[in-house]
Amino acid sequence: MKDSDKIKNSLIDEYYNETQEEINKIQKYSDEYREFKSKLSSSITKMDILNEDIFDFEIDTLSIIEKGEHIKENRKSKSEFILFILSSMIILSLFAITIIKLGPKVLIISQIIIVTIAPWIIIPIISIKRRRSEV
Amino acid sequence: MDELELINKAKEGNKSALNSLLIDNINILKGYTVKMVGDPHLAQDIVQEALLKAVINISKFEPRARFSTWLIKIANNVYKDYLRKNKSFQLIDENFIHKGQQQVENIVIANYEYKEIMKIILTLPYEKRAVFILKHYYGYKYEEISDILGCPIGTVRSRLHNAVKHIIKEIQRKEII
Repeated sequence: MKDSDKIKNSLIDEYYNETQEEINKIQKYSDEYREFKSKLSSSITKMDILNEDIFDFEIDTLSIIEKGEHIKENRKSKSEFILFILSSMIILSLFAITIIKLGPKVLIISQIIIVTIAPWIIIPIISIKRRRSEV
Repeated sequence: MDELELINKAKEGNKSALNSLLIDNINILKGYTVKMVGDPHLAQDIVQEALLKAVINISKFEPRARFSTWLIKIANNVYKDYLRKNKSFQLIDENFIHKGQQQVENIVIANYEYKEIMKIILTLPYEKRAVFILKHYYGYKYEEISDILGCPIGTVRSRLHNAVKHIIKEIQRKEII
């Protein structure tokens, strides 16, 4: 990199308070340094005109939040549906394999076990969930 | 309520906290996007899309950086996607600059300097434009810019140097000073 480029880069860093390399005294008082410094400050000051944000537009944050919540709900219900389909397919295929291997008696025994045990599991889970949602 | 508290509440599902968080940071996002794209209508779409993505992914946000930094990062990605979807990055960027210039001409016909400065910004390549806007108008540090744009600090520095030199050259050429 040329020396003049180095000086310019250092000046830009200095202008934005990101100085890394100190500019030495000889360079600091050179004409090139002074000229670029004055160009830099006048040009950059001109750029400040864009600070006036004249392109204003309305953004309804509440409707965006509602839309976002709706999308999140949809995604959640989609993933729950896929999970339900997968788990039921696994359970049904396990049943089918067991029946093929051990005979149809297994189906009747498992039905009796499920019907007897299921309410004892499902009812407490639902009541706990309801209590949590009330809190 | 400070930003961290609002973020935690928003992550827990508090809509009012999330709304306050968005409102507090919307001006910086709007200003950045308008300067970046030069077209208020496109900027509005990008801001809306960025906010929507922020709402959907708020639970993933880690408050190591400012919330506005995260929003700008999302807006940058949305804009990059927009440019990518419109076929060739370079070609569309050039077309877009032209479109942006026309928009600027229509809206701020009375403000010559504003129009010319916006044109200069739009002639900068996307990466340099982003670095310059973040540094000059919003005072982000090199580290923060490198985090937002996903590039090394050295690259951020050299992009800023090139952008500033280009701006000085253009301002002199157009005799704005």
